[in-house]
Amino acid sequence: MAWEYYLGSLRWVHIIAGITWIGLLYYFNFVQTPSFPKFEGSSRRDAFINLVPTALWWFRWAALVTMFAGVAWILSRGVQIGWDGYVGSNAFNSITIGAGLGTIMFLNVWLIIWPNQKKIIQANKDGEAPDPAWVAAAGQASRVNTLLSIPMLFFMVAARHLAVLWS
Amino acid sequence: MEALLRPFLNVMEALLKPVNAILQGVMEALLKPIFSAIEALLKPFYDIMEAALNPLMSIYSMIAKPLVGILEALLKAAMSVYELLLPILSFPLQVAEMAISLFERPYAAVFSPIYRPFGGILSDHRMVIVMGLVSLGVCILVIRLTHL
Repeated sequence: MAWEYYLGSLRWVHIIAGITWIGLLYYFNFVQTPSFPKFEGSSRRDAFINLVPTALWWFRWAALVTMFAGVAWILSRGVQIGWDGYVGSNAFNSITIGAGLGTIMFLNVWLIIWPNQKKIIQANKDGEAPDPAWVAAAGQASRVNTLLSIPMLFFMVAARHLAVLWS
Repeated sequence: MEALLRPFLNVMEALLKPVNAILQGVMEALLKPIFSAIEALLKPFYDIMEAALNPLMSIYSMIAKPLVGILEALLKAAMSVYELLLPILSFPLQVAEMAISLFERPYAAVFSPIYRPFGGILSDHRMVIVMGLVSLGVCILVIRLTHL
């Protein structure tokens, strides 16, 4: 009983943080990126100084919480039902594919998107034009994450709701 | 890392350039009219929905008004707790950021050679969705084939 409450809580944290992360990822890709070039220079700079840092704060920390809660869930589940029974099960197969894709996405957030966005924000604060290479790298990693989110979410859901995938 | 992979990258890029061009052409020719047609088809439906929902929204806002005050007070309380927590969290968050930033350079050295050849495909958001669905299809196909 205690295990179920513990695992249920971990899953709940994982999903809330995941929605925050992927929601903001889709906002960046489908709303902000196509809209910002239409802004006037001063409005865009204002948005980069006042809006983007807040969005990125929630984005990167949500990614971290999602990752930790997910890893903790898999490890706890293995301990709960025993690794011999868990490894190789339908749920484990799906969740490890989802988790693998999620890990690449997490690394892209923290090690490509955020470092480049930091430089872009600073350039806007200094009133300078950001280096196009920073914009390109951050944009590419962000689009890679959008691409990966489609199979990642499928396998996350399949772990619980599509056992037939492996039958 | 990138210098080591450069010959391989150049070949990959040369191979993928025509693929990119074809895919972009296919997308413009096939997907654009489909997206526009769907939008045109849905427009009257949206208009009807909006017309139907407007009176409902006015009734809803009349009912919701007294609740908004209570909700606002609750949210204010939650925000004060959040603002209290932020300075306490600030130091561990900074430490975590510094620790993670140690991996920036090695990861960037791996990331950029892997994705650079796909630059053309990855430059368009609609293409990103199509590629995401394609990669999902490939994953499912591989699983089905290996578990038959």
